[in-house]
Amino acid sequence: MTQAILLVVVGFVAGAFGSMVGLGGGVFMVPALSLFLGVPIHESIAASLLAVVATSTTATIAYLRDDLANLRLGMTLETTTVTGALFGGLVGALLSRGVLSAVFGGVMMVVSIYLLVRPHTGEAEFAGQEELGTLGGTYRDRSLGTTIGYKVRWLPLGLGSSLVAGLVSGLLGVGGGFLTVPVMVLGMRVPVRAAVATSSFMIGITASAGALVYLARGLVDPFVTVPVVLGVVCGAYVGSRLAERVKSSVLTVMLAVVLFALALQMLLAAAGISVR
Amino acid sequence: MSDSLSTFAEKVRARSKGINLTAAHVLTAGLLLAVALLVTGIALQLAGFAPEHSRVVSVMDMPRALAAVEPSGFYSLGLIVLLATPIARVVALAVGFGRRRAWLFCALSALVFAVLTLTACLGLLT
Repeated sequence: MTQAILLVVVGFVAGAFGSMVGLGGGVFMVPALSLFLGVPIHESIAASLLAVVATSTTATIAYLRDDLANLRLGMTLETTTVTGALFGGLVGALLSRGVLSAVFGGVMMVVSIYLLVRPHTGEAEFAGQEELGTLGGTYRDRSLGTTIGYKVRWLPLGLGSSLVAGLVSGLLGVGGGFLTVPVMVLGMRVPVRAAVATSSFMIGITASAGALVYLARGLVDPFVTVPVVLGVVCGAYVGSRLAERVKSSVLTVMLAVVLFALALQMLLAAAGISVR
Repeated sequence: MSDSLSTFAEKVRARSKGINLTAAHVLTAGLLLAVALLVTGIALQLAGFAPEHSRVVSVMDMPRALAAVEPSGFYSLGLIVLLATPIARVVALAVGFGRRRAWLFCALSALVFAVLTLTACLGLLT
């Protein structure tokens, strides 16, 4: 019973933080399950993938009702993410997990530091006249009390990064949000709040295919997964509600800290020091 | 406003407006059903219907487990419903965009569904 309560708590924390920064929460969950609770690694990953789907589903409900998630942008980027995941599954054995971890760990560390030190220009208030393009959007920022409008820039960059995110997500055991959120914010000029919501929408689709395979192969332990999923659902609901109320600058700092931690984990894994 | 609606981009944006709620309804229904099934499994487990530590049953064995009111059957069905929910959302978006004549995003949603299905099939076969 104590183990089940701990699993619910792990799921709650992962769901709350994951939904606030647009990641699935696997970055917290896999180490917590495998290191601290002694769950075998494959069952930890299986539980984590199902938890990503639960985080995405729960958070996206709130983000869709508030028009924060950009479905047109999400579905456009998802075309290359799922294609990348397909090819990742086919050529995965040819790629070096260590080299990938080192490259992405290094890139993400730079990105996380840049997110922290970049000058914050703030989001543009939408006056109702601006041309936002096919993929652009508007949303009500509750923390500012204004309507924000944005135009999506550098779509090829977003499509390319989504392809890479899909390609490596299965190999590195993390969700695609770790790459797509910073690219949306820094490259495509999507406000962090909309990027987090759109990423939350996307990661559930990507994770569901991988999780289905684990489920079909019998690698899902219900005594681990069910408490985690129920904890995640509660955590993601709370996290998505909190995310709508905190300032974008706070969300950016949270995102940078999480990316830095993930980058450190990847670099350590590349050096042969596994924390999973 | 009528000037801005004259552009292709604004027409697409206007047509796809409101689809968020459709997607939210699909997600809410799937999530509630999945949680209800998982909680039912826990209740049966606590009531002593499955004293041994059982894993998730296979899809083929699920009807038997459900008919026998085994918790593992409810766990399996709940997790399958949870996994099917994002995929159902993609289908709902393809239909929703199509009904609003936002053909570009209807085609993109259909493409995502096709690749997702292919990925799942390849994953299961290998």
